[in-house]
Amino acid sequence: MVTEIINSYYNQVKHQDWYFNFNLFTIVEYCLLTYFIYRLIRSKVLRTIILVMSVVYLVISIYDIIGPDFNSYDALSSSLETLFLILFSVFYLFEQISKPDHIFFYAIPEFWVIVAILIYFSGTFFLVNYAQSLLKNESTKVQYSLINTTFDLLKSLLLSVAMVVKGGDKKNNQFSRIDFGNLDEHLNLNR
Amino acid sequence: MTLLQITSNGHSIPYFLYFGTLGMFVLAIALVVFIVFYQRRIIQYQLKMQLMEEEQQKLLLAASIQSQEEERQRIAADLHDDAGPLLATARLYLNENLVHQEMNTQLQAIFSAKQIIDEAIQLIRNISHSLMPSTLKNFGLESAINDVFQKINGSGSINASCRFHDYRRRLSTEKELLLFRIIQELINNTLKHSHASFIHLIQGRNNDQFFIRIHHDGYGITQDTYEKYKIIPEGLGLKNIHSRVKILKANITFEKDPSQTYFKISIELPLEAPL
Repeated sequence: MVTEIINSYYNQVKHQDWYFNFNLFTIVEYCLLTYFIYRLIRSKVLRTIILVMSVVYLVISIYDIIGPDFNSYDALSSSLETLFLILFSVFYLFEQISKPDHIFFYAIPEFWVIVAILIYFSGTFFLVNYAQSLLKNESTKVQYSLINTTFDLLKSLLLSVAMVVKGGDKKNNQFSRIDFGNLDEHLNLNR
Repeated sequence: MTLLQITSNGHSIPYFLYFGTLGMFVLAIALVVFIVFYQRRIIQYQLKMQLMEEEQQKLLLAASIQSQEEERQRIAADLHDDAGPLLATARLYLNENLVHQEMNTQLQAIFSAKQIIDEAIQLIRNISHSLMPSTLKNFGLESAINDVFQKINGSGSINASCRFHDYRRRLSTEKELLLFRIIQELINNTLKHSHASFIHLIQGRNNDQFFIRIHHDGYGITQDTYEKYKIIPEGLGLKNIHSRVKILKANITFEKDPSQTYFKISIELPLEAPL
């Protein structure tokens, strides 16, 4: 919504193209998703890596958005966003392997959100890299949209699963967290 | 690059874009599936470990309860078989007909009753000492162990000696009692099963570690046997040793000397560790 407001300002007042909005949206999207993953990760080392990478990303992206080419498609910023978010998702999954705290990993909404992020950004990784050339003519633009929309739908589907899981059986969610003090209860659930 | 392109309405989109996208998608799915299954395996492994730990705790608890029951039975048998008849005999000497007896007979009966009551007192004292040795309580571990070794030596069947190198500062009473029980059990085992000709105990300190080493030349056990007995229902004594060692946060090792001539048992405990 914020990016839309800013975009309409640029369109109406400054008469600029939609690329600025796209670049701004990329930064906002990166910040929100990174913050979400950052909050889930417990390891201090991984958190520091995320922070450092985010600083690098923001410096590059903000420079691009306020630089002379601010109104053209910024492939570097989008590629970095895609790459970093895939990495952060892998960090989260890696942490869940090394220090698991849920028996039913797939019964928590966070898992499905991370899977949505991972699949969407993995699927559109190459697309984002070649977006500049693909968006130049109408026929490749259609194919670009087709692939992008497919992964967008998949992402929405996975996010819906996350919402369903969150609103589902609360008792199961509660017991999916490993409580070694209540081991018997866990074992009964597993049988 | 031209070869790697497909054409659509005169315009092209690289083949590798499709393959790349598909590849990345498959990779992401494979990663998620792998993580879910691997994580599940780890959880199952952890639960299995917890179960094993619980099982071992149960065995230790059972061993401890069994040992308590045996101790109670022994005390009950001592009181019933020894103290009971002694006091009953004393009562017989002091029955109500005693007043109608002659003076000499009365004195004789009172003297006999007194002897029997003394014997009963001694018996109860022995029971009490076996529960908590007074030497240990009053004079510490060194004296209590010396006492035990002197008694063993006195029997003449085995050469027993002990030496405390550095015991100027006593351990806490609880630690001393636990350590005493461990040593008592180890010595009992050695006397019962090893057929050793000598048993030697030394004590020392190594920085902040307190250690006890027991050597004997009989048949002994090694660490593998000890570890095995920890997880099977048999071997009550070793389980008691294990639970006491655990309370003390100590380490116990059973080894055979490289020269294969004697067995060595080492107990090491941190001096500052609270119970």
